Amino acid sequence: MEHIRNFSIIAHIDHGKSTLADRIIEKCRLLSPRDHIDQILDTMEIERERGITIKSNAITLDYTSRDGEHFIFNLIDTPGHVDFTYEVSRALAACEGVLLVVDASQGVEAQTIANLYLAMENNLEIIPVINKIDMPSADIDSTKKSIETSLGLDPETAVPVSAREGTGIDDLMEAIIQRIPPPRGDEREPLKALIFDSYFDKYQGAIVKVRLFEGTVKRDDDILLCATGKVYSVNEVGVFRLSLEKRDALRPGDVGYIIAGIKTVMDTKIGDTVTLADRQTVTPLKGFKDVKPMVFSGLYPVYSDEYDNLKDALYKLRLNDASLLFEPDNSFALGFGFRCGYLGLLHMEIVQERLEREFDLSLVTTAPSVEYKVHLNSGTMITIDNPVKMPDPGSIMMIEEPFVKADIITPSDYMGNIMSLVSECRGIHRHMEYIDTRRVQLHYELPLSEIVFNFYDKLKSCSRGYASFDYELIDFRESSMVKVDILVNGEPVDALSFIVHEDKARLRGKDIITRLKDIIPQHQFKIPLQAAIGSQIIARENISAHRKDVTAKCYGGDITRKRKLLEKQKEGKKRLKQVGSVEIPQEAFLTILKIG
Amino acid sequence: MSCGIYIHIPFCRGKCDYCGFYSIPIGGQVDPPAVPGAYVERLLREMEERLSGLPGGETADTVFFGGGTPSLLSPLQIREIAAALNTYIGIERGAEVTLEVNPEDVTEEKLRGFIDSGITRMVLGYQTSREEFHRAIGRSTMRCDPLVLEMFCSARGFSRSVDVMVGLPGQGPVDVKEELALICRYGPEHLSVYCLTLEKNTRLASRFRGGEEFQAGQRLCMEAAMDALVAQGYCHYEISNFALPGCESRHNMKYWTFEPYIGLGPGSHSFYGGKRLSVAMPVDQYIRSDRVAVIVDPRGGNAAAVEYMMTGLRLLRGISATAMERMTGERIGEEMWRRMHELEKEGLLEVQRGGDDAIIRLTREGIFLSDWVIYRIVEDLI
Ligand SMILES: Nc1nc2c(ncn2[C@@H]2O[C@H](COP(=O)(O)OP(=O)(O)O)[C@@H](O)[C@H]2O)c(=O)[nH]1
Ligand code: SF4
Repeated sequence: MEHIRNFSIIAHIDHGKSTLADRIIEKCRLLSPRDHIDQILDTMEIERERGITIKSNAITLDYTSRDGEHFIFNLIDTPGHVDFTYEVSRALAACEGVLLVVDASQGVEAQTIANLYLAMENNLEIIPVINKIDMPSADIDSTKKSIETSLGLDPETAVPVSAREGTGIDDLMEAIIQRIPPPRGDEREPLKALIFDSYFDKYQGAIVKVRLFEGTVKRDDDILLCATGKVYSVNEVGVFRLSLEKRDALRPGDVGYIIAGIKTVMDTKIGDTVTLADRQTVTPLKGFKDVKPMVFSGLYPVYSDEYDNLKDALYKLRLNDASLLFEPDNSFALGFGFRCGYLGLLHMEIVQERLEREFDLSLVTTAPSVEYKVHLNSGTMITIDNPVKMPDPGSIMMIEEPFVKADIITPSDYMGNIMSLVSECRGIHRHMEYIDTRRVQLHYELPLSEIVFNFYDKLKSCSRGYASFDYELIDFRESSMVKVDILVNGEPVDALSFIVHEDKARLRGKDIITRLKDIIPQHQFKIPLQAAIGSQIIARENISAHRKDVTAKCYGGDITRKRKLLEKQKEGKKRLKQVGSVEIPQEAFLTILKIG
Repeated sequence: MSCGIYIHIPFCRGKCDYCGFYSIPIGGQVDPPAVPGAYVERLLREMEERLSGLPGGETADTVFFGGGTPSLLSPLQIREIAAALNTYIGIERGAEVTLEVNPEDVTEEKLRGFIDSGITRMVLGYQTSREEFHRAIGRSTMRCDPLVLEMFCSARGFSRSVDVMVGLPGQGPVDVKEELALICRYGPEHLSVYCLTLEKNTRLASRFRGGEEFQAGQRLCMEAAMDALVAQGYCHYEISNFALPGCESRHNMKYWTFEPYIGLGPGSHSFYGGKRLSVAMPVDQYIRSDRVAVIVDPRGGNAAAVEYMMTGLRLLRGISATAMERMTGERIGEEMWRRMHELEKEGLLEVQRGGDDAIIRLTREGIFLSDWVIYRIVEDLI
């Protein structure tokens, strides 16, 4: 155990986490070509493209120190996005230390700080790593300064490296050995292991990724998962190398896997404690949470005959993503589909992208919504994540919406832009501080619903991409929220309803009907478009009538052609959603629902 | 039994920018341009192939030379074709024999020749006499100036029809009224008035996109034409056709009343024995072939009823429910009545019930939305 080091690398996106991981893996002579590593650490195509992981991956490495001593390094890769804060915190709980990477040319960013807090909460040894020192724009001194001022870490403990060129990696390896404490734990105690992730395998079921704290686990042990109370018999244990490598047993300090015929990852909750059924630990690990989705949206197949395929695809995705929630739903305008809950916006985008790419589905997604607590006059409280389900305004006493604590780091030049953006988004300024001479950190409280409406893109564009941002749910607060309906030719289109703060209702309503106007084809009659709160119209537009092909001729040769045109028209109509007597192309929902 | 014969001549001098038909421009190749002899020979053989086997007693009461530009045929060629027709099917005495004539071919000598070859009715491809509109639509033929019109209309010995195109880029109702006033001075028995359609994949469509305002203007032009012609005593009998009483095109009426016709030549269509057939071959292949490829249009069970509505409602007199049942074997079902009733309430259709029958016709508003009205009536059947 003295020779085990469990650690993770945390970094703001693009600061060089993956490159550094490559170098460390190379030093351990496991392999060098990047593509192999990609296969190990970033498994999904979409993850690779976006440069983010949504799963926690682990790899066990062998390292021989300068003194010739043999060590085992367990490197745990964490998801790199705010949507997955809980997952990151659980992966960090499996470690004794972290390498906190800071790009010497960029300095500390919002995510660096958020990650630091997570590491501190888990009492980890933190080794600051200043990366990209080879770059001409690298400013090591100023980076050190911000490590001190904004991270509160001793700058002298920072290890300067160039992950790209390999400079400083040996020193870093020694620092890992010397500064990160070895794991502690007693083999004779009852089994106590932390689940930090799991994934689904067609043949073996859930492969549970664990870190052992106490006791041992081996084949044929009956294990108990504390959160679900279910018991399974272990088929196999082992560690993560290039592929799974079987072991006789896992012992305290080990990071590895357990296969126990568990049918779905829904049963292997991240953060849960694994113990033995007949010799249970009396102190399950702290910090377990049943994660709840924060963002919701409707998901509908563009072609109604793809409903079953969508259902299968969602079930398949959930095999590997327990945080994806969904239930059947149907919309008057979009037909049969699903209401889905996601951890955050990125999670939502990834799920949708996977459904479209890996399962070849064409989808319409309704506007993302957060969860509201609606207090009724009757004294009861209901939670609503779907605008369609919002009760009649007359029966509502008060609505509460989720608020987050948001930290934004930006060069001070863009402070003005950001402050006005945030105040547009109903943000409450708490305080701010300079983290170095050029940059400030702004602390806000913001409604989550505003973040869901493209906040991140707007933040990037008003800071020319320089601002970074991190958020965390804090509480629910009373707000004047209203449900806005969109009416086409007098008929409400349920899929287009949304909940918004009353001050913004008019603007957003106008925006949607203006877009609808461009998308709904002209009909033979005038189509009024309206946005309404209850019976009060807050915005309106008209689509003028379309006068068609006034008097084309029709002789002998035209008859078959014309009949085929009618057939085609009917065929095309199957792809239109009938709202009253207006036909809206399915694809239109795609465009409209990309809320800007 | 009487049957219509359509003879297709897929050759033109040049290609008009708005034209979406399959036709071969032969302007540069032969001088003066003419329909290749080999084509006419092949037509004669097609007649033998396809007409000689028809049940006895079948005769032609209308013949229509269409195209393309059928006036590229020489009077002699027409005579040959007519003679062959007479051999294989028999042209009835008093049959209507129509020829479409382009302005280039309107010479006294040619007109006389056509008449002598048995042509009884000619349709002048007038379209527009105004230089700017002629150019705007990129018509490849000679512009039909008033002199040509006068020569065509003052000739005697045949029934005259004039094809007019309206709703041209830049054209307004006043322009339409002027052109029609000019034509009406000569009192042709028949006029066809079409709105310009922007066919896909034509040169015109690629340079001119039309749009909402243009379409609104087209409607105004068409309305101006309707009003002007009715005021001159023409009967608006089909969406795009007008005639002095009794001068309706007998051949074209067959298209709208479910009467049989046989088309000859590549690209031609037939309706015969309750089937729709077409000759689907490129011209060169047709000329070389030993047998023409006649394709039967695969139609679903409801096709007859759909087509009956689609064509019959083009006639302003409308259709009758009993006639439809007699011709197609299909009754108007409850759902269709419901749909028609809806259209009636919208002012697009008129349903007149009397006894066991009902007459269904488009209203004036319905004429302009005919494609849509028809679609809504038959939607359930397709
Ligand atoms: N110049 C230089 N570039 C680096 C260094 N480390 C990483 N990069 C580059 O920075 C970018 C982001 O690195 P990556 O490891 O993918 O970052 P991650 O998003 O934190 O995993 C890539 O283009 C790397 O090639 C370094 O030490 N020096
Ligand atoms: S003359 Fe008639 S058929 Fe020939 S190209 Fe012009 S429009 Fe088309």
